[in-house]
Amino acid sequence: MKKSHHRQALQWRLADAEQLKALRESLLESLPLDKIGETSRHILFYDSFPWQLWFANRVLYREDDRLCLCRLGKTSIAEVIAEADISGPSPRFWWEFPDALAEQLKPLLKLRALMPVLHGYRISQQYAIRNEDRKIVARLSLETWHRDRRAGPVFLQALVTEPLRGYEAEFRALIRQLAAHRLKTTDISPLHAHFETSGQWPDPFSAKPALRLSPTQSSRDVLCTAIRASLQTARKCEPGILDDIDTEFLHDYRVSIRSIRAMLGQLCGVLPQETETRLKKAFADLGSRTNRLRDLDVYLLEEPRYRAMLPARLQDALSGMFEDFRKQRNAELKKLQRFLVSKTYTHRIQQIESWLEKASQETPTKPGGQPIIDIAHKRLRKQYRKVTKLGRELHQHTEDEAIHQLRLKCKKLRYLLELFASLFEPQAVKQLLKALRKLQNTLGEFNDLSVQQESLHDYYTQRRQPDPRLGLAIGALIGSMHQQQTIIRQQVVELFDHFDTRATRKLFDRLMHSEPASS
Amino acid sequence: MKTIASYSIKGGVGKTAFSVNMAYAAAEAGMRTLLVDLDPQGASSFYFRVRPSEKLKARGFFDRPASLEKNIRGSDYGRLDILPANLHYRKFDARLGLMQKPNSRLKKALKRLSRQYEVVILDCPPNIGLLSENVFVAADVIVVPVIPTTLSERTFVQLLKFFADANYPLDHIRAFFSMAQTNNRLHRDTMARMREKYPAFLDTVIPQSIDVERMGIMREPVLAYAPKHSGAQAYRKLCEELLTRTGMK
Ligand SMILES: Nc1ncnc2c1ncn2[C@@H]1O[C@H](COP(=O)(O)OP(=O)(O)OP(=O)(O)O)[C@@H](O)[C@H]1O
Ligand SMILES: [Mg+2]
Repeated sequence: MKKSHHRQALQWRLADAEQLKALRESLLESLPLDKIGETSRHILFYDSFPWQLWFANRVLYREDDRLCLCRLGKTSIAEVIAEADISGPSPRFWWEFPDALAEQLKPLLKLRALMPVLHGYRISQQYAIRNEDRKIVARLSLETWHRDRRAGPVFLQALVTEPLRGYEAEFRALIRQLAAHRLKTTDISPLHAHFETSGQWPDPFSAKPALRLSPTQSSRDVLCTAIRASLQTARKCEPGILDDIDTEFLHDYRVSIRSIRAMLGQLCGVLPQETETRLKKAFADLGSRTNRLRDLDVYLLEEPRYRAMLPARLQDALSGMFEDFRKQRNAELKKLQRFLVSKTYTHRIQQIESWLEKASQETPTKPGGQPIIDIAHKRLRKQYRKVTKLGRELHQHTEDEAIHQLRLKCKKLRYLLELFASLFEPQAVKQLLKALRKLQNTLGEFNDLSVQQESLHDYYTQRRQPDPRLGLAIGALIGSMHQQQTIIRQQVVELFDHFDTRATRKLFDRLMHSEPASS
Repeated sequence: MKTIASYSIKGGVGKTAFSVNMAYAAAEAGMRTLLVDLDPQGASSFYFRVRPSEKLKARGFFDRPASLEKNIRGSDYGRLDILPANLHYRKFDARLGLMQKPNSRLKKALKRLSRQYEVVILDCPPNIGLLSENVFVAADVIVVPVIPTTLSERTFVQLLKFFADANYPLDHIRAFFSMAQTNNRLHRDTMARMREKYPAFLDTVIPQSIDVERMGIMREPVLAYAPKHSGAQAYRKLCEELLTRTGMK
């Protein structure tokens, strides 16, 4: 058994054309090689914009009509996790994939679309090594990977040696010869080789960039830095909106804009009055231009759930409505796309940048000059107090409005915690965010139900022609959503009590007195 | 794993030609295939350019599964491996005679390979004895090439009788006409008569063919060097018919 460990093919990396030439001249000439063929294959690698597969150590590629999801080793492609045959264009969303793959991709991709990240063209020149009976005893192939096109730039060149069962001695002899030419075996995958040669490794993307603040920094500088970072993040989403890759680009764009608006609101007075007003107005405008499109995205994403909420005989009654939504969405998308490529938009961004630039040059306002740690303490305490005060007034029959208010307060507290995270003990921040998240999720659900009921109601009452079946369906939806809301209302009270415990209060105190992680 | 034996009491009827091409066709059809050359002459090993395995003695073949596996060789074709023969195999019968349960030794030895292969093809030497009894026990199908002549019919009947007497399952036997000369009246008549009498015959007939004969010079299955020629096509058809009839495909 010990002797036959060379059952697997081995890959030997060639540094460059020089090395290949040298090898061709000496080794390949001296071996009894027989060219048996040449193949050329197109292999497409996929990932989402934030590289969800890569960062989960997965890789998805397509070779001909076969899709393969594999585990990613340190520099290699490891075992196959799921595979399937497909025809036609590659699916983009997890729900469009054959079952075996869909199941694996769902938790990784969520709402994200896959895009090609590398077009690899593998040219293999295959040779056989024969013995004196002209029996093949080993195989060897020269593999050249080209990027983008068949004759595109080369990003990996390797010799692959393949043993044949029962001819281990011959294989070992071949390996000795290659090693004597100072070739090294490697398990590097084409994807890794591509990143290595291009120098562009996948970058994690987060709609909420983590800032590293120092406690003594002026709050003005922090605010300017934070706005710039978020604006940059928003801008990274623009190409995805323009190409309509998936709905997450718009969502992340909005998250960035919203967090800027929240910061401006929370840190009011840190920038000069005039600048603050201008920025608030500018970002409010950018945000509002995306509202309708986002709503429509959400309805369309919810379509299967809406249908599932209805009895079978009413399910098709919604088709017309969703058709309308789809049309409206396309129109809204075009509108936003036109805006994003317009001079007005470019000019607006330049303005924002120059306002920020000017503000960071001038003498700061009084709060703007204060160290950020002081501001952070003040704002966090105040916001935390607001959340607990409102929350404690909740009861089973609380008005919707009070719940919405609590949702907004929690959201602001969350933005503050995220913005100031680097000033405190990371563990405490994490724990508090976690406690908050549970409450927030439920509050969010409650709010979504309100918004959806209202818009369904509006959609129907604003129709010109009555459609009794649609009316029934919408009525059923609103009824069922209202029912859910009643349940959630009770949960909110419970969840708040869960949040507002002695433990949380102690945690908050600990947070306020904590120091950032020593780096 | 299915085991197909190519067997006949008579020599020179086309057992090896069938084994070699059947193995090639099965691998080509996507099955992991092992061709076991049981004939000490090593004809099928020769066709695949595989040297006899010096080390594998008759004893090791049945007693030491590891040494049997070590002697398996990859062929030049994907999914097809060969277990070559050697002269020690002449002692198979003597060796088996000394063992306990001498009839099921081969079956036991092959069982170890059942996870590696989907099809095992046994190319047998032409005689009847302990080794062939092992083949009858191990094989799911026993394929018998019959040259359509009166003499061949007699040996075929002998085999059927032997099976019936020894209580081997008669329905494991499949036969086909080998080296048939379609313009030979005697051949045609014999085929018609035998088909009527023995339902074991497959429809496909392997004709007498120069292409098949050339295998000895080419040292490759005819399916590899002349895949389009009539002899090769006949083997491909025969292989398909056999796989379908025996429910392997
Ligand atoms: N269809 C065919 N047409 C022409 N010649 C053939 C055909 N089949 C086999 N032969 C030739 O007949 C001879 C005997 O064939 P083969 O070796 O396959 O028979 P066998 O039954 O295995 O013989 P043995 O009993 O010696 O093992 C060989 O020379 C072979 O090339
Ligand atoms: Mg033979």
